[in-house]
Amino acid sequence: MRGGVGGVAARTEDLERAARLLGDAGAGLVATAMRLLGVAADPSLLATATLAPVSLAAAEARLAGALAGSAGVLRSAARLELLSLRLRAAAFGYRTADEGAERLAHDVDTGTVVLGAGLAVGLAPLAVPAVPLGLLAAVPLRGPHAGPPIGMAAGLLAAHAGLLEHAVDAVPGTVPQAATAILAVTSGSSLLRDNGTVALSASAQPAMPPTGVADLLSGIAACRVDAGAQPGTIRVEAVRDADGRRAWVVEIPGTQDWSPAPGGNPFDLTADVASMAGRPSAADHAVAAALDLAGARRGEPVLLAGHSLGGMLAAGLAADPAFRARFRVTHVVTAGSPVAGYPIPADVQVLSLEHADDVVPALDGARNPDRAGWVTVRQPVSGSPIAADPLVTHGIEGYRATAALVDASADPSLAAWRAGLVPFLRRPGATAVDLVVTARRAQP
Amino acid sequence: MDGTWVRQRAGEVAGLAEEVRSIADRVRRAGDAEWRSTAAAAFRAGLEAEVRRLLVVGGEVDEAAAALRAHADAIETPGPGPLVAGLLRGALP
Repeated sequence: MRGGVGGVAARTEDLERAARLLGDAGAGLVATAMRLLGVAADPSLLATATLAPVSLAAAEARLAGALAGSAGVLRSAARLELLSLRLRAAAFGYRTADEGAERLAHDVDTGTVVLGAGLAVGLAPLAVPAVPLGLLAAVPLRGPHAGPPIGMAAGLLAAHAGLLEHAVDAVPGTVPQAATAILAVTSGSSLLRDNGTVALSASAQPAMPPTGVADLLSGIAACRVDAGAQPGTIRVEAVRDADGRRAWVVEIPGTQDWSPAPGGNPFDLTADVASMAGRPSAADHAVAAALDLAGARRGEPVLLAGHSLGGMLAAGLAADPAFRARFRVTHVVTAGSPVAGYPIPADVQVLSLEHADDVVPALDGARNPDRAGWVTVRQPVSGSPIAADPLVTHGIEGYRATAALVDASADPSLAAWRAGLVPFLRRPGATAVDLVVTARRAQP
Repeated sequence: MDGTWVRQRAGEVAGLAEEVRSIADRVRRAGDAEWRSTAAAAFRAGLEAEVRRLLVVGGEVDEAAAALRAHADAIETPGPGPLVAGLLRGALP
């Protein structure tokens, strides 16, 4: 891969060769360390303590320092292995991006664009950030624009989700910068263009308020097309307590359409890229319009809950001063969403569920803020990380199971967080009305 | 068991220091990969730092070899009881 405005050039073969060289060097150092250990622990040498204990102690101390000290062989071996891994990750990213570019070119030629994330690949400096975007496309692919999963890519990085953060960290620019640049490059086309206009239709029905975080995820799951919902569905739940005070729960699904050509469904790749770039999208407007339609009033507490893209939208809206001026966002729940970079105010209580073997929440290359009002639950979903299947590790069913653990947990941070959820939850005298809203992006 | 045997071990350790320096040379060559970008520059800076660290590691191993040589000298230097030392020397494997 070569070219691009930032002057990036890379021969993936070179990178892979260099990575092997570093890996071999690390292995060589480990062998050296073992031979040093063999000398230091030689019983014959240790027996000479009876002849010259002081000088032997000095020699053993030197050997130990050379072996495992701060400037020792073992530490260098570990650092070389890390450098090798980073280089492999970079090479892998460039190569995958190249393949994505070829596939996109083919798909455009044949008129069936299937892998929108490949758009980023034309930007060589952004090649590796494009890979995380590509991985978004590799996860829950269903529907008319569903593209082929990047099986190996997703599988490898699912098995090494932590490595992804290193990889993202090692490449130029941040994912938001990459997303912004993608939008800049596609500005001359209709791809990823979002006019931000939506039309809503809705139906209301009595409901039971949620009982906890798992119920919130059940509500999100009910918005999915494969659960029978219309494309573009979100749920707004009005929870009223015995005194008539209202609180609002908004449940937002993940990406439902992976075409880079914006269609009627606002929960699409265009919304993904816009959210990563910190720009509003039709999906954002759909949430705001749905709350308006439901009659939410300023000052009433709002909980935004979302899976994947839905979590990004929730975080983005909670971080948006204009949205907060209209609605009092007090709580955000995200599941499998890369949200570390959203500047959510400290007075908004955030719960982020992240599976350690899910690559998607790692796409931002950063850990979520560590603060009193933001609790991140991070744990593996699969028994073996090697066998991690992105459909399982990122799927909402797995996150619902994790949410059930959160609901049952006695952990003080989680217990305190749950205590704040009371206005949104089922309790004596509380009633609820569900507004099922279907949003359609207005076509130009 | 005498100083000569310990010096052989010291020579072995000195050889390991040379191996570390040889590995440092190989690591430096990883920077030759055709890769130009901000990330590549950061990677090469990290690589150069690692090469310098490896040379320090080689120095540490050299110091260990020198300490073993000093130990060999100490073994051969008659202490307060040459007779006892001679007996011990004979008793060692």
